[in-house]
Amino acid sequence: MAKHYAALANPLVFQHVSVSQSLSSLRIALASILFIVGWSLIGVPANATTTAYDEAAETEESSSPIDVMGKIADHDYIESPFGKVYLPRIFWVEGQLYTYANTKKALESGEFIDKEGTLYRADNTPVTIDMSITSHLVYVWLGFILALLISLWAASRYRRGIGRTSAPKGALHNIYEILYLFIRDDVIQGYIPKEKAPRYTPLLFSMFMAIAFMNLFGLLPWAATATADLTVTATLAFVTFVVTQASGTKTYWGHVFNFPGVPLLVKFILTPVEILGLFTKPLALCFRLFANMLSGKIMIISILGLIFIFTDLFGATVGVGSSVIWVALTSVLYILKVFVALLQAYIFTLLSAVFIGGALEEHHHEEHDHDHEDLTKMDTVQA
Amino acid sequence: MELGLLAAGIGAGIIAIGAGIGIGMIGKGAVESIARQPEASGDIRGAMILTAAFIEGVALIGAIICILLALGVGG
Amino acid sequence: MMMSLFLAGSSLLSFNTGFAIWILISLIVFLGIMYKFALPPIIKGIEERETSIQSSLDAAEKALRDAEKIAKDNEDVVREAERAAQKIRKEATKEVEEFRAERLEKAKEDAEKLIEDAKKSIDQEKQKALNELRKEVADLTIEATTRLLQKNVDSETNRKLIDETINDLSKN
Repeated sequence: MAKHYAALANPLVFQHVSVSQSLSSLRIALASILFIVGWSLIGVPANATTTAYDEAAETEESSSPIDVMGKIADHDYIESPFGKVYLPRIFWVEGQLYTYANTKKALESGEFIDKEGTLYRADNTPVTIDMSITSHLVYVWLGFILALLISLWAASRYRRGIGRTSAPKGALHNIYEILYLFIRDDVIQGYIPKEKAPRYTPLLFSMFMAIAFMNLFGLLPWAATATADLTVTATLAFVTFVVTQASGTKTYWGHVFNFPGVPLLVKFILTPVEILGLFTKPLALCFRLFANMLSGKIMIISILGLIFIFTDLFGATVGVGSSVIWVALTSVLYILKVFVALLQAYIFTLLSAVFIGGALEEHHHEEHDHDHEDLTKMDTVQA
Repeated sequence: MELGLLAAGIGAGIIAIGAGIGIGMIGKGAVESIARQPEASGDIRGAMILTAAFIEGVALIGAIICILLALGVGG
Repeated sequence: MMMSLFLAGSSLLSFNTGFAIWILISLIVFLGIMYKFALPPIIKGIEERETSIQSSLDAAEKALRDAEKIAKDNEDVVREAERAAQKIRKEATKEVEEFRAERLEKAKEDAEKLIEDAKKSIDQEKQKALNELRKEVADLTIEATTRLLQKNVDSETNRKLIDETINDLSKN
């Protein structure tokens, strides 16, 4: 019965993969073009002093109809349906910690000055580590918290016996179990040797849940997509990297530093390539998630922004009239983005499992191992 | 600046062509394989997604370079 | 414009160390709670259900096999019983037949014996009656002759003579 659910989940994923994959390349191009067109049309005044902070952005809003970069960049506030909520700023400057309730307070205190959008200490020392709580961090937390809450809720149900002795009840519980079984059976056990898979199941499933929720949070109109931030994806990929290297077997390191079965001269070329491959794999992982989420976000903002651009160029009638097209297009894109959000979380988990599985490989027993090697090679080549 | 935008636009177009051809070929291969061997569809699907993800990764890295060009970060 | 784009671009593709530290801390906390509280019951619960489903499937299969075997056994038993019953019936019929034949035979024999006995006793009676009759006849004859001859004839000689006569008579 449990297997049955996983089997049910499978075609779901499959159906949309090919569609979204082929659409994704289209999306990249469209996003880039729209983005560029948008920017040149918006025409920010050359002398506008843009800052990453709100005060400056507010003055700018009057001159440009939409602010694409402002929507996707990290901020010191979060937007909510009830207005902006300013977040605390924490600075670490040369061994000294400064904390303020928000940016305004930091500037008012006189200890910090604003230089073209970047904060400096009053004596012109740059901030060593900016530990400020930003909008993206808040959405990272929200993603974690939601994943935790749902998992704890499911855990309490399993502890009570629902799902342990009987079939899971309710849509949410069923979806949760389908996802868990899908990740465990198809993603993890498919690429990690079966006897070692249970060790990595909690980690990869947690990562999947967290990334999925961060991606889905980005769909809320006022929310920021945490995974459309390079820092977030890089940190997640860093975790995969650490786990991969930590679980590397002798065979794995042997393949890196002393590739078996090739002449010495080739080894001199191969070893640097393999070492480079260690880093390019998680790097590609981080860029893939980042660029996917970012391009979706840019695209939606750009297409909706066309309403305002058209209004600016041809007047309100054209702008409002054409909005039907743009809103319809955006709705379709939103549906696509839901799938992409889940798909990218799945791909991140899948590739993490592939990398970890590759590192766990013990001596080549069968042809199976060669398949894995081919895949990892492919990744080296692409990066 | 304008040349950067031009480069970004052309680059994005070329990326789309490359990624489109690549993913199209993967899809063709996968569908043909599944038609020939429906019982192996699970494995084929996994390999297809994986390979498509790699191609997408290259395309997106290219797209990021285009964004950098458009933003004028490189020059 | 250049400057603003540059700033936006750099914030888009920059790596913020402080932010990364925050994420790492929260990720560790998140994974810690997931490992400690959330996932073990889920993993164990699903595994338990899977094993229970598997074991009940196995049990059902075994029960089915057992039931099939029992049904087969039952059929065999029924067939055996039928065969036995038929045999018993056949035997009983045969016995009854034999018994009847035997009784019939015996009855016949008895009847014959009875008839023979009757015949024998009739013969005996007849002989007895004949003997008595002969004796009576002889006595009567003697008496008659005695009366006829009176004393001149020796009764002994006469008796012999008469017996010879009667014997001749009975021979005739």
